[in-house]
Amino acid sequence: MVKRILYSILTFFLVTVLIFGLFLLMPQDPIKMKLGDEADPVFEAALRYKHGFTVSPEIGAAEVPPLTRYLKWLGGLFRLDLGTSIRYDKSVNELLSTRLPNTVGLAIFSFTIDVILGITLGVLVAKVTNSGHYTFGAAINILTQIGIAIPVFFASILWILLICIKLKWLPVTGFKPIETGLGPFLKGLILPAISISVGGISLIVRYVRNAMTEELASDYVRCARSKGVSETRILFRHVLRNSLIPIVTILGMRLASIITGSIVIEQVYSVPGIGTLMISGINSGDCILVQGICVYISTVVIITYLVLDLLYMVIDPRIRVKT
Amino acid sequence: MAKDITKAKPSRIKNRTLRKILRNRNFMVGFCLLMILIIMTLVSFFWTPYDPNELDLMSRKLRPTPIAQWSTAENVHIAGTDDVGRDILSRIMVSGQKAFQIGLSCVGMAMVFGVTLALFAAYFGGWVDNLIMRLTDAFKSIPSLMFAMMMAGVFGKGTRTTIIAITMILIPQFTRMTRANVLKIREREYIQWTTLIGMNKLRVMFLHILPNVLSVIIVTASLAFSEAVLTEASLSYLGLGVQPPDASWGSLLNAAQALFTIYPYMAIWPGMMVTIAVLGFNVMGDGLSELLNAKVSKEA
Repeated sequence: MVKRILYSILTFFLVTVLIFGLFLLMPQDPIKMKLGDEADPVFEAALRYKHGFTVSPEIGAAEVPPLTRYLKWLGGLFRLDLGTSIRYDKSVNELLSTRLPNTVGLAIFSFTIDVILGITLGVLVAKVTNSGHYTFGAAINILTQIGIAIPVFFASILWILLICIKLKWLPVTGFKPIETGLGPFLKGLILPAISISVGGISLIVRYVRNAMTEELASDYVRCARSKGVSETRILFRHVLRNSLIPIVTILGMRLASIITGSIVIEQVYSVPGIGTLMISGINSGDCILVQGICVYISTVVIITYLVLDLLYMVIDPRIRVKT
Repeated sequence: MAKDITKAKPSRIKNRTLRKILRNRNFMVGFCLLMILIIMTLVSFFWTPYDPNELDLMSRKLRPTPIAQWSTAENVHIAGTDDVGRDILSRIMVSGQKAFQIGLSCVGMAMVFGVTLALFAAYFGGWVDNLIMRLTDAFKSIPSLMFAMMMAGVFGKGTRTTIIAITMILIPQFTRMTRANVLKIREREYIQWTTLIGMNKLRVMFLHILPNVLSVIIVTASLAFSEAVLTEASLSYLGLGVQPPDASWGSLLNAAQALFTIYPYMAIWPGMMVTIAVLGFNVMGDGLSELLNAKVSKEA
């Protein structure tokens, strides 16, 4: 277990090297991109110094070598300081903190839909298919394949056309910040969340069904039946619990997809979240901002994978014994 | 119900492999979906209903012509026109070229690099193996779309950056899948025999082990293709991928973004194309893995 944690830390370092190294290859100068070609050289030099590119605020000052800059940046990361955005002239932390609630809210919302609908539908599908309704199984098969294939942004466009234009249940641009209250905030996130969840639900349904059909054929199920255990109890207490490992794996995998999904979906519904922040950072060449966001999200993913591996041990005693 | 086997007709197709392929539903469905796109794309090299980049301000935002009027109307736009009067069907057809160009080059390059890396890792073992595998793991922790966006930020937007970014996303997948299977095959007796008779290890790697993992590589390629198409579409949709005046399905959706509530067809056509492509490659990949008996899990 200690090994697993050390391994996560190593991965974190590699990710920081990758991200920082990539931005060293950037051909444009981010400061020039912000100020334009005819900027005041004194101001430009000061700005360069402020963001840590040069050693002193004078014009023509020597550049800080990349390695020193990397170490400084890394040190900042450990103090939870992601640097100062070039474009917004605010600390990346501050920018993130105003936008984080929206993205996190969206992610949690959509993850909840994924888990609840995905697992329940999956169990139901497994049950129905297992009792001989093969046409139903085939229909679900086709539907879930389409659900997985459909890109989030296209799904969202279809939802808008259906729910906002045809049925007129919700307004098209319905996003409200969380300060207006939890109710309106969540209401504004319904469409984005279900758009992200289309793929997730389909994927989870497939996994749950496959895992459960496998388990349903096993000996302990037959034994439980012969003991007279009710079918629902078999399904939820015995079979679901035993097929939890692949389900938990796929739920963990979903997290990365939900993050990328929300990056795209925020653009569709103009939700001011991390995704829109990142795109504006990319369009203005703000390397410090983009680096910060990337490291932040990657760290979340690394921690998720770590928690996932630790969860396996909790769920399945067999793994605990092995390691 | 037991079928009367004495009356069962022998299949008309004599070739056993072909019969097996034709009977695999997943493969055939995926293959047919892709054939629609491939034929459409091939035709677009020689003929499109209109010039895909020609502006026609007289026929802006024309809705799709109903089928009944195809023979009578003078300006037939089967899929309508966009806000500057370009024929959407023509643009969708040309976008197919972009999708396959990006898909083929990314999957091709990623396959070559990824498989070579995997063989090196498995061949040398030790710290080379460790380094390569840790790097692929690190890559796994950066969500792929975010990585592609980052690349667009560093190297500028455009088709070339998109291709490089997607290739780099796909390489670790090939490496992981290939390496896992190479390690499995290396334990087989017939490979251990080659050590016994003193064969060159590199030769064994490429001539004896590689052909045995080929089926896994093919299935991975099919799934990788679907991811390439999807990532390209997402990136272009965000305005960070293929740049105008070039058309891709994603950038067509991006252009339709402001108008689709009034003119839904502008978004539905390109969106459907992306879905068909991704669906086709996914389903065909499933079929291939059944046919070749190769298990590939995306998250392995």
